[in-house]
Amino acid sequence: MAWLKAYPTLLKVYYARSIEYRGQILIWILSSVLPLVMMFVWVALAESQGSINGYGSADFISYYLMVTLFRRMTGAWIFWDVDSDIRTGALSPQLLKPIHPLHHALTRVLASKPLQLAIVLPPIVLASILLSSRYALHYDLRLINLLWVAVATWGALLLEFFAQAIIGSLAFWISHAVALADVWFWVRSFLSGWIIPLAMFPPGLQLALVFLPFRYCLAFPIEIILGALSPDQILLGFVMQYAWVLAFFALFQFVWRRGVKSYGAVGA
Amino acid sequence: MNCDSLHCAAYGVTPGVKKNMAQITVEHLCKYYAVHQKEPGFSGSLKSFVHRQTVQVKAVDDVSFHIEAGEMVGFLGPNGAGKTTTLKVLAGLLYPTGGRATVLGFTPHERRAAYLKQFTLVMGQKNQLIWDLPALETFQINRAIYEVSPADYAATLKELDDLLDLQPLLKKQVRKLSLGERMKCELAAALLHRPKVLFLDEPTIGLDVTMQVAIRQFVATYNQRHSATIILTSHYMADVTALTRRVIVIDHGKLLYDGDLRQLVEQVAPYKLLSLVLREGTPPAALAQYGELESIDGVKATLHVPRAQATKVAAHLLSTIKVDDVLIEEPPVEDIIRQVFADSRAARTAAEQRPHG
Repeated sequence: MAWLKAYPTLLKVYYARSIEYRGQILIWILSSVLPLVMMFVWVALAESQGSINGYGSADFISYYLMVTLFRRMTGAWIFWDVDSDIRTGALSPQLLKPIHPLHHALTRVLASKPLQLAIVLPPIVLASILLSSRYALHYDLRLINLLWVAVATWGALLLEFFAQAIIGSLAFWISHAVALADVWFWVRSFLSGWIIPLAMFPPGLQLALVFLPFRYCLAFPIEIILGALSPDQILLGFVMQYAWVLAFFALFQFVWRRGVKSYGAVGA
Repeated sequence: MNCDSLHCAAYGVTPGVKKNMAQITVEHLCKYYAVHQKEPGFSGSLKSFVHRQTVQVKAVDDVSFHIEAGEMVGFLGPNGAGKTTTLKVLAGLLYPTGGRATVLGFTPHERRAAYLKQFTLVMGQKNQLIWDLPALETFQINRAIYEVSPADYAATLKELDDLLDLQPLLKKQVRKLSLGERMKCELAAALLHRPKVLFLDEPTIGLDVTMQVAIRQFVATYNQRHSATIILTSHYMADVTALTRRVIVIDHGKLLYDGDLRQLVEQVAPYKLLSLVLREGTPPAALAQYGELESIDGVKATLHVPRAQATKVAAHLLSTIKVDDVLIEEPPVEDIIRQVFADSRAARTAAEQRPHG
């Protein structure tokens, strides 16, 4: 666990770096637009039909507000760094250090979260307060529940992190791993509930999603904070989520180790 | 299989260091790459899609040497010779195809944390400094990663600052530094953990003359103060002649020479240069009796004279021919090394043309 001792310093330095990049704040804001657009569409549908698959207008609103928040908290965009570091040989200096290169990627992701939270949480809170005068928005904000939310968010972040690390590691062998990263992005976006609430899917698909990793990338922590799950369901969810985290981690280790062996350290 | 090339026999491989004392041991190291060949153009792309042509490149081919703790050794070789590949194997970045390498008792490609903390590899072209932040931030990260105590860190930073004059650079963003300034910071970042073994790959490449001298002085001082073992590769002969007595000459993956640079020079070029500025034009024949005439251009002439007789011949020449200026000097090391590579290339071509069987 020697690498853990380096984390405070890594987090501190990468936090400083995350504040340097003011342009990315705009990107975060822009990427929140899609769920809000979807929200307006569904609310309009719900207003005219009463409710859809058990979701009324208030449910759609609270759902998509949480999507906006948790998308930011569970996002980890590391694919490009991993992929290009391998292909350009910039991985070499990282391999010389006594900690695994991916610790830099993880601490960069973690260090950007405080700023992301500061950008996205106030508007969400404000919107919730303003809208609750008209809609019955329901969140389970008991401390114990928020603790489960935190654990589920951390699990979701790890899933995304390792999925991208695995795909990025394919750069050891192929030069266009970006195509696979795109596939992962769209499949995950669709099946994790970012675009459409999972409750809108057919029951068969919903059942399948209990066992697949995608729900645990975004929908799971949202369901907890919306108070939609019983304690048993939360427990089962954690078991599935962290089983998938372990599976992704094991796959990553497997791919990475073989990749480093075949690494040509090119670029003189 | 011992080194049996023509040139090892000709130049002689120095007995060197006893194996069990050596800090760096390389035995019959081989690193081969499979490289895809593709013909240019569209039809070439189609052909390569259907049938991938692979060629084996022997980047390092049966290289062996031992280096003792505290030694400074220069690797010489043209581009693509295998110098950088050898360093990368010693640093654990590459897995050997064959043979063995051991550094400080570790097998480099296992990349144990205990090994990684004791050496450093500085690659002239590759940055480890974080681009958008001041160098000091990368120093902080390295300090944490290598688990350097605050006291050691302060002392090392001060020493590096004294030797390299880092103060004005540390708080500037790395991307705003000039190449020379960046190189100094890269070196400092690589040495914060006081490694025992330094692999320096083209550390002065692209730097101006003043900076090259500064880096050379720094490396020499570091070696003296800390008895660090240093392997240095460079295209600039001045780096190698200034810093190292022992050179390892590599070409096309093969070790051509391992030993004292001066001895190599004396073997390949058993002559000294006699450079003359004549008072009046002299027929070449008159000069040729004193030594091999390399060139004559108006009143300037250069002769090759066997080393042992250089001063005697010079004295005799001065007494018979009217001379304005005379200079006895070593042949330029660049020419010597170029000769070594040319001989190696000739031997390789001859070997390819010899009928097999």
